[in-house]
Amino acid sequence: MRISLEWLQRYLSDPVTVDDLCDRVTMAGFPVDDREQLPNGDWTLDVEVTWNRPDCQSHLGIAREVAGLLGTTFVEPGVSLPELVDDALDVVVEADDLCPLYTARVVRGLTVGPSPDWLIRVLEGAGQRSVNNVVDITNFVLLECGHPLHAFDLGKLRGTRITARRGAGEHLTAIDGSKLEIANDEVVIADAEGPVALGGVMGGLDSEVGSDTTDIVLECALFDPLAIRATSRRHQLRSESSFRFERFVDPARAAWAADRAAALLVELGGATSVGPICAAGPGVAVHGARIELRTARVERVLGIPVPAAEICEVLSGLGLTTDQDSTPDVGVWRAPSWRPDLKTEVDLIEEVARRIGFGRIPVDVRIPVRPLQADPSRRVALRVRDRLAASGLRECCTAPFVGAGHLDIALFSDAPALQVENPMRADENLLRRSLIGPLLRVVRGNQDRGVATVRFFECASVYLRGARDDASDGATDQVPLASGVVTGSYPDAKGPVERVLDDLGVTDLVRIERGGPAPLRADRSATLWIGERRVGTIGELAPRTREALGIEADTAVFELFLNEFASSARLERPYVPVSRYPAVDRDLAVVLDESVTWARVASTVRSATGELLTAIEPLNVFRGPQIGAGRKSLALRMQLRASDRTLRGDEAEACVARVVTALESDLGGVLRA
Amino acid sequence: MSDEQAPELAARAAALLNDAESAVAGATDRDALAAVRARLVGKRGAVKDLQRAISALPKEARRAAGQSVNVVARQVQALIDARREALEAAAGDGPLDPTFDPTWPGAVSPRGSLHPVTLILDEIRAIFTRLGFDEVSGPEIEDAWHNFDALNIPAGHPARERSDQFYVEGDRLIRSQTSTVQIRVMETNEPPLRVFAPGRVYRPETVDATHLYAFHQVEGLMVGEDVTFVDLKGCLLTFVQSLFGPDVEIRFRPSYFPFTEVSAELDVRRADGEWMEVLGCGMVHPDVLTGVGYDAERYTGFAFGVGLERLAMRRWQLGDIRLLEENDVRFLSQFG
Repeated sequence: MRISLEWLQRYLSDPVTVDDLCDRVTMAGFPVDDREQLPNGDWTLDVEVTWNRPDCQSHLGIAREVAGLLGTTFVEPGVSLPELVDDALDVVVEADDLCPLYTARVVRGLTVGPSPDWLIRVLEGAGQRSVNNVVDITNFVLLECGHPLHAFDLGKLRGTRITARRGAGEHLTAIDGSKLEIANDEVVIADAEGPVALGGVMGGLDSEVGSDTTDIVLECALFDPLAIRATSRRHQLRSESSFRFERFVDPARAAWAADRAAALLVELGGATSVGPICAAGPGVAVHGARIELRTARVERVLGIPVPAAEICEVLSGLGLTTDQDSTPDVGVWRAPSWRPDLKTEVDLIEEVARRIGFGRIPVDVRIPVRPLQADPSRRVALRVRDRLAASGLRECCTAPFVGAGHLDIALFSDAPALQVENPMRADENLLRRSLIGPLLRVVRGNQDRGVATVRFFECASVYLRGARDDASDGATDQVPLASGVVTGSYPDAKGPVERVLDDLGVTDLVRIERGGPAPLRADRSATLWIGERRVGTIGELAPRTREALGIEADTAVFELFLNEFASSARLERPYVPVSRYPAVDRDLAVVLDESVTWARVASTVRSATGELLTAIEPLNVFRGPQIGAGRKSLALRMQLRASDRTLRGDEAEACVARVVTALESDLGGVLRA
Repeated sequence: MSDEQAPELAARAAALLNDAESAVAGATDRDALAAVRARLVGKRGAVKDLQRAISALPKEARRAAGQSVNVVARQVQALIDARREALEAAAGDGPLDPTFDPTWPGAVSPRGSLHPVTLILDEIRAIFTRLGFDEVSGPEIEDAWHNFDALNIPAGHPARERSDQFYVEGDRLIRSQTSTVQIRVMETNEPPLRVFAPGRVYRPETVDATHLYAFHQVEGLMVGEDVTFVDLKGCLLTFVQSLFGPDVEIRFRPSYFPFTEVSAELDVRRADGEWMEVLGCGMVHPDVLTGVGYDAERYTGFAFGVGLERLAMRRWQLGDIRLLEENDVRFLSQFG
């Protein structure tokens, strides 16, 4: 709401400064977003009015709100009309639900011309350009009291009957030139031959007041807020009128507004005759809830006592009236017609808090202490996140929407992605099923900025249709993932995963099997299992996908299903005493079938050596004609150590001999000299 | 021979010592040190020159001058001896490396980093954990009941329109506020309650320098038998002081949210003197408490919601909120 300081001053008994005004308006709950001094000296304020306070979409409303806070008195303008002439119109409402009240009055003998300077000035302060005296007066009354009005040129109306009815698909050219087709759930204001206005939103061009207008019909009506909002949205037409009708317009103001405009038309427009208000429609109940306020309840909510006398002063100052049933313990109040938001006790408590000021309420913290309750799955998620960052990956934060195509990757569920019904962009109409797609988009973005080597991760949720066990209703569930994308090959992605698994204490529980889902390379990818549960996947991005996304460097990815680790993770592990005795290293080279994995070799060595093995690592792999097709030579290093004595040479050799036997018998290996 | 020669000689001695310090330190091998030694203390060296000059002084000045020159001579010899020992000790480590550049970049493993929103969240998590709030979470795909009705946002309210709310198939929506978690927690727990709920929320906003359509909030809720606005102020003041420092200037300003009544915004004074909105808060609306089956006469509570992107922008003076979603390495690498 744009407020002109000069205009507002008309309703305040004493002069106020712009600084005081901005401060008080803000602290009353209406933040001043912007203020500007105009060349004519007036100040224009952009005041944010919250949804619950439609009464403050007007200068009178704001003045009433802050008069007391500024140490001034609110002065309501008086209206005096000449004697009304018998100049009736036939007014009919045929759509009671959409237009509960329609009134119109005839005003004749006008001279359309420029408005007086003061009117031009205050309208400018309120962000309105002056048109002519008649239009300016309707705008002035609207911005003064919040009730929209419309003036039709009586000479351009056909017949003497005005009807408010449902639209029937007829066409209307609005004042702004837009061509409208009026639907059945919208209000047409029609004369004898057809539509002259889109009710509550905008008048028609054909009946617009012009320089030669002398007689007008002044409309002052009430419309259904939801219908007006739907109409305004549908036609992309927003007017000061529709803006207010879709919130709230005080029905108790309607007659005042019609009189105020008529009086100004006489005073400033030379009108010579004013007809009576001709009304139709069932009308609208004037608001005014009866509300009981317990004095003790104020303290229960605010934390400090507020004396009954002060409560009384605050509420009376806001236009509430008290009932004779009131006692010091329970005040009985009647809300004013312009405050539809005041309905229950707590509404009045808020008014008290607002008016006495939050500053008066003291600061205290009475927080009882108690033990921390750590949620294991949250601890796992935080641990994974910290470990990935410590492994040299950078955390990203990506939007959860993707389009169909290469970025709609799914590593855990084949069920189609959930559709967003109203996406911001056509290529963001799906909810991601994996974090890999959005992360690959980040890789591409950085590549375009000249960064060729990246290591990214993200911890976030994706949405999998029917991932929940009880998904019989087609339910969806949200699945927390930790995913990474790194420039390089499989080991570059596996390294950070190993760190995470180690940190969660699950390395020995996780089984890694060859093969992962598309768009990973079938040959250079793997699936991670704990028991029969899939817990993650690692792999190199298939070249075709990489090319389709325009990513130049070889890229490997991983995705971990965090829920699967919540129960198996061992975040606290017992300390294992460190041996004081020296270790010996023994190297071996063994020829094996290609299909024998390192995990099987390590496991075989581990069971053959028992407690003596403290570390094992592969040294190299060699393939060639001397080894034979389909076979590889694997060199490995074992570290052997006894926990209670220095390991003797013959003990180490015996241990190695057991390893060789096991490799030969269990894995078909042949020791290489 | 004039009398001024005595002070002049002392000055020459001091200059010699200076010269000797840098020359000896600059000798990086034994040959270089031998040359320096010859120049300083050899038969034709600088020390000998000084000693010879003494004889030219007046007799009464010779004794004092001789003493000071001898002190310098001993110091120079000590420098040379120490350097020789150091060079000989180093000689056992092989030839010295003349190509060594101590400013060459060090060898490091790649550095990872956490996203700035995560860093802010961790701070908030620590603060509310200290205040005894439990961390909770709720689903991002929600139903209209939790996102709207239970929060006192009735059918027909503009917040429910498709221009203000993402909907997904099957009469569901992606939550537009973390206040949904308030409802879910109250539905399954009895008072007293003290929880905070970080999470992501979504609104179909046009993306610009101050708006994203996916952003993060932390919601807080405290409900009990005697929770009042005094507690709200205390908790939130503790929060902003922990986040922005104890001297932060704040104000509580009346505002409007459908699910709180008394509603307020908390503003923080920026360095430039302007007030900046930091969070929305208020006493939980009795209708919300009643809606989850609480006795609204017996229990009261306060709730608040704070946007993390805005806090991150203030903390690091980010001019554009989109930086937080671009994931440009040059941006991410500036955070811990």
